[in-house]
Amino acid sequence: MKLYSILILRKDADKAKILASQFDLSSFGFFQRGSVQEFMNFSAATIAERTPAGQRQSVESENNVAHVYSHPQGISGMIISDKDYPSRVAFSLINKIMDEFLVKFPTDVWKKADTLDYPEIADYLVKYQDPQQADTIMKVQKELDETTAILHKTIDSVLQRGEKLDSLVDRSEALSNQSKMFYKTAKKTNSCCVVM
Amino acid sequence: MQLYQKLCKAITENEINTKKSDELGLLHIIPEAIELPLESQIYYPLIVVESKLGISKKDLSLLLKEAHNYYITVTKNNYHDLEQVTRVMILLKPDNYTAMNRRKELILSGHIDLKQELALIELIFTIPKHSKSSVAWYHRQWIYTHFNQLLHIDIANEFKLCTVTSAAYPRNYYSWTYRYWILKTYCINNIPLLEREYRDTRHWIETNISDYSGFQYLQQLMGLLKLDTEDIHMKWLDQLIIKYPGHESLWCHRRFCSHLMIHSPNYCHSQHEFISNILNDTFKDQSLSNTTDDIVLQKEFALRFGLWQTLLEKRNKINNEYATLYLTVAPIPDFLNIQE
Repeated sequence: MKLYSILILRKDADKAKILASQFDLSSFGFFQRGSVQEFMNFSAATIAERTPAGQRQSVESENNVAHVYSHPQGISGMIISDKDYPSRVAFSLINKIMDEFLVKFPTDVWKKADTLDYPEIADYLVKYQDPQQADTIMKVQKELDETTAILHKTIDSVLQRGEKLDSLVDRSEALSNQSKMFYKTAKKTNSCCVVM
Repeated sequence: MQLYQKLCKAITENEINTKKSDELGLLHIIPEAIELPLESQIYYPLIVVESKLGISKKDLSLLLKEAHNYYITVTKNNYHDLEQVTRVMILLKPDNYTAMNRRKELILSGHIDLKQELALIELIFTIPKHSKSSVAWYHRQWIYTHFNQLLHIDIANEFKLCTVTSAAYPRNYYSWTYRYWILKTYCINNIPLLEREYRDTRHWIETNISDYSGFQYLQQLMGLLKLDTEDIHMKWLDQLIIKYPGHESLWCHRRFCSHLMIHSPNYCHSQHEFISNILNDTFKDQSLSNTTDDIVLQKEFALRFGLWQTLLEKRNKINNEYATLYLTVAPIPDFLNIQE
């Protein structure tokens, strides 16, 4: 089981902006890392934009899952992991990260920031590669058991009616031309590892 | 032939496979030539960046064809070209018996350096899918076996290679069996090393709980070590089963433990007690997953294990008072009296 990324996003009207992020893409090959990170950034924004305030979702694709919690204050915490990583641990971790974030950064700071320096998520990305490390945080988050996270088997299912993933990819500023071509080709040949 | 020659040029001119940062990559798509650094553009559509070689999947099939077509024309005593073309063939596709065996001949006739061949295999394994190639792993084993007088084996490096490839390709059967071969051949009497491997493998499994091949290695270690801390091992397994409900690999390993520990005092009783607790949701709060599917699967695995355990106890002439617990999964109500 692996954690690939921790991200904090802010929702501005209908767009999501990544304020802080950390990645561990060491398990991807040298040539893949660039486009993997781009697609993760793209997915993160796309999913965060379509997660209503107060809601938790898990969105699967390939061998990855993006777990997101949209905090009512307008900030979202996201963890991208592989499918083996227990979702309950991911959501506990997101809760902890969001709580600490909101204490560390006053509202007026994160509402206006372009990016924020939040080194703690780098430490967490290392520490919580082993889900058992999250034992103590889960014990104090009993109320999480009562909430349910919606599970989506594909990223398509978070899109609004009429929205097409193809056009979102095409219009995205997070993806390079190469990645966009990659997506089109992989889709056409129905090959795996689209990393979306 | 053009692409094949370009590949040979790329490998030779950039000394691929002589530097530690070497890596191969198979790419779904490659950038436009202009987007690449100038030094790489001469090899386009191959990509060379910082001593790493990228080949698009589309070009891979063409290269394989060109390499093979060249191979069949090379004369038997053109050792240089033979070495080069077989090297390219196994870099592109390690599951190639012909090329690998030709290279064994070249090694035996002194036309290939042993250390370079070992490094070549490590380069091949930088493509995750290729790190499960049984032909490549055996080639490595063959080199060490055949030249064990000449070569000094770096055990730590071999274990590291196994660890890296087990991470790169999950449930990497050949990586783990090679690891066991190293252990058996070079470390069998090194108790501290066996104990360290046991601890490290247990730690590995904690974040790779579905790695059946890793479990097999752990079980082989347990056989070699004659574990005297059985209850500590079972406590460890119990914790994993509690934390990660519904993982079949953990329950399979439990069966292995039963075979090993069935005659240990109190073992059987503690098994049924554990199952009973699972069925009663005693550990519900400790699990890291609470999805219904996992909980249901967990109970199913527990019942099946209980039934299997009961039959094992009967076979070993151990008295069993828990048989009734498993009637729900028994093939027939009278299962204990089936003559075997």
